[in-house]
Amino acid sequence: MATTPRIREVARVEVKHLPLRYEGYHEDLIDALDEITRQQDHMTSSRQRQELITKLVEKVGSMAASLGGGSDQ
Amino acid sequence: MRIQRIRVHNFKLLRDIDIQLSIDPAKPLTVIRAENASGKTSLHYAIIWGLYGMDALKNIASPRDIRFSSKAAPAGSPVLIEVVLDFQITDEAGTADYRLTRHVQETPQATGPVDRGREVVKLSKLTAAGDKELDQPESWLDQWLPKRLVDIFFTNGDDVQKFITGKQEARLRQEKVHLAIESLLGIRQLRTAVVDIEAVQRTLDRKAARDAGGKLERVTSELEKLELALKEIDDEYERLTVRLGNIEKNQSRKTRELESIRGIGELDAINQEIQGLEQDLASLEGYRRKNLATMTGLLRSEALSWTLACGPLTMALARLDKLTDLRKIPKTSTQILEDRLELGVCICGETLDPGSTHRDEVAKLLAEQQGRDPIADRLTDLRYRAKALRSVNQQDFTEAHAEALGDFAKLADSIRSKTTALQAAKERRALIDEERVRELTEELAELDRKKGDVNFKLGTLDTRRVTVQYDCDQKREEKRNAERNANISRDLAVRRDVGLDLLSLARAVQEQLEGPYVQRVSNRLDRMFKDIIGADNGDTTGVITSTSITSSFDIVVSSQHDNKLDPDFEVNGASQRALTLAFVWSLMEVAGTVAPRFIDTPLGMVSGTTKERMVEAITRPPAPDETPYQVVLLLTRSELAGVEHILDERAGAFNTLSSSQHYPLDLVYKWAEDEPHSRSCGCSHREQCKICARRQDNDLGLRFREESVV
Repeated sequence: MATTPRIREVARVEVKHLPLRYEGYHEDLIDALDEITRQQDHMTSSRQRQELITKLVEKVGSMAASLGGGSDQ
Repeated sequence: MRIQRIRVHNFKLLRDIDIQLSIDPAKPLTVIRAENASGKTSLHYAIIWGLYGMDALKNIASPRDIRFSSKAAPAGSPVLIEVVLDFQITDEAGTADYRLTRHVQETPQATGPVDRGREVVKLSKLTAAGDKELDQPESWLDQWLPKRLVDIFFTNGDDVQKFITGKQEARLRQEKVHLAIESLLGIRQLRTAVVDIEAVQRTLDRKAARDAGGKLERVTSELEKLELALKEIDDEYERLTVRLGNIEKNQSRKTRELESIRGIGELDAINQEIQGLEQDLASLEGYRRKNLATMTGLLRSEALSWTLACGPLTMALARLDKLTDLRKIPKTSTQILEDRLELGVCICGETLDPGSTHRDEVAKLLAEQQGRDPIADRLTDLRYRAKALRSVNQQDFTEAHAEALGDFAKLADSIRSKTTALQAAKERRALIDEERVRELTEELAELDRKKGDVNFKLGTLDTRRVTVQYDCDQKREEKRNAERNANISRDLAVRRDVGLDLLSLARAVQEQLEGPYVQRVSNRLDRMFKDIIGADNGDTTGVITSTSITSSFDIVVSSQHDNKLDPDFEVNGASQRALTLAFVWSLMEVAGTVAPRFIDTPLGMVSGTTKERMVEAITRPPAPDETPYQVVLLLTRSELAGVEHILDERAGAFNTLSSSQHYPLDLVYKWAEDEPHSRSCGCSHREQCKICARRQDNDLGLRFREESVV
């Protein structure tokens, strides 16, 4: 267990305030945030970290595009 | 992480140590009993080295000066030093066992530092199918047990105290507290995540604007600049607020010091007091001289002579009085005959003309009288002179003397008390460091000026922020309109939405952890600290009324009327330890951190019921809905005294460390090997064996364990 289990715990509550873009979207967001915070210990440069975020956003975004049917615009 | 087993080879005097730790949530405590110089500190450092390597010991000594191998190891012979830690990690996937091995070869030299090889570290996951070695062991360990928090997980009694109080600068200590809160609750990680997600979001925005081209690209770029300006203002505002806080803390510290010096008394007032006392003393000395002169006069006086000769003189006067009664004195006839001859008339009336027979007879009688009784003359003289003595009262001297002595005693008392007061006033004056008072006064004036400057800058920033925020809001609206008219690809728009959701989530979690969760730590800290020091929760009249963590993560101890106490000077040693332990326990519980809490000699300076309450509080098994934890206490026999009953109930594993060097002075049995080293045995605080038995153990009523092998 990471030394910061509360991030995930609080994220489960807070994510409910966000739109559900597809079934499982909230869990994917929580996983993404968890991954971002956990991988900080392995990634010292901001470029590495931002690349990880971009990849995660693309992954969840493509799921949203294929399952959710559009953006807020 | 919960450590199950620690094996140490050739680390200092720990030649071959194998210690099992309790990972039972119902019995979270492991007791390692060890007297001073038995290897507690070596074990402590061995674990830290095993987990983090030489880097984590840098703050103890320079790596060049550190020697792991025993001083008894001969020069030129290589020694393999090794630490093996078995531990459990529980996560959402379940519980898994791991083994961490770190070793290094050291060759002691005849002179100078040891020759040390390269450290080798290996981390394996232990599975039924076999051990699986993991890459990058350091980064895994840093995720499970961050090195930056080593002070929290592994500490000793003195450092426990220094974590919140002690010789370190207050700012550094608060930084340690901030780091612990931010790291364990995840606030630090979320702050970094928010900054990184914002950067990614800006990239997506720019990309979308580029795709749309024209107006949207321009508006996006302008908005970005405004948002950057807003962020710069906020950063500057935060920096200035921190600076203002530091200035205020500094002011408070210096004011406290100044008040403490002034509490001794104002210098002018003390000088006046000294002057007055010196005048009083001079005056009293004058009176004493007069008093001594009076006494000298009394000692020279006839009254004293009379007093001293009173007895014999009274007898003599009585005899003279008797002679008078017998008319033997005074010898009045001589005088009468002389008078008569001078008058020329005898007492019979006949004339005493010169040449007359009668006159010749009277003259003859006078001559006879004068020649016949010189003794009577002397007695008569004595009687007349004694008349003057009769008028001297014996009591005159006694009373005068008593009065003079009384005055002398009173004067001596007054002089003594004034001298004491003068001495005290001079001592108080000596305590006042005039130079420091002057320095502090000047520094406070300078701080006041700086505070004014910062407040002015904050005011200016406030005004600027309102303007930039307004421009930002306008530009956002403009951007929204431009986006509505632009043709952004659906994929990109969705990704931007997802990025925005992720950013909102990260911000919301950060806000929750910084607010309510820190408040939970604060509430728990207050409760646990009061439990340990025995303060009643409802009592507002005690020295310590509450402890709390502020919104800027500082720990504050409050007293009556909401006065803030300085933990360095106004909180006693036992309470300082209690405060740190309560903080670490509360934070790890609220943070849900499963990590060892390893404390070497935690109960020094703590005794009696406070010790009992402290052990009770830091070993209490977690409730089913609470985070399980592991606590390892390294205790001496004197620390164990009085808390054995709690350890009986709470400890799931016991070990004892002993040193061969304690034989024969303290250890009862000699070990087989001669070379100095430390050994462990499985004796609890109630037991002794042929390895650990000490001379006082029978007096302590410790049971003998035969199964231990020397």
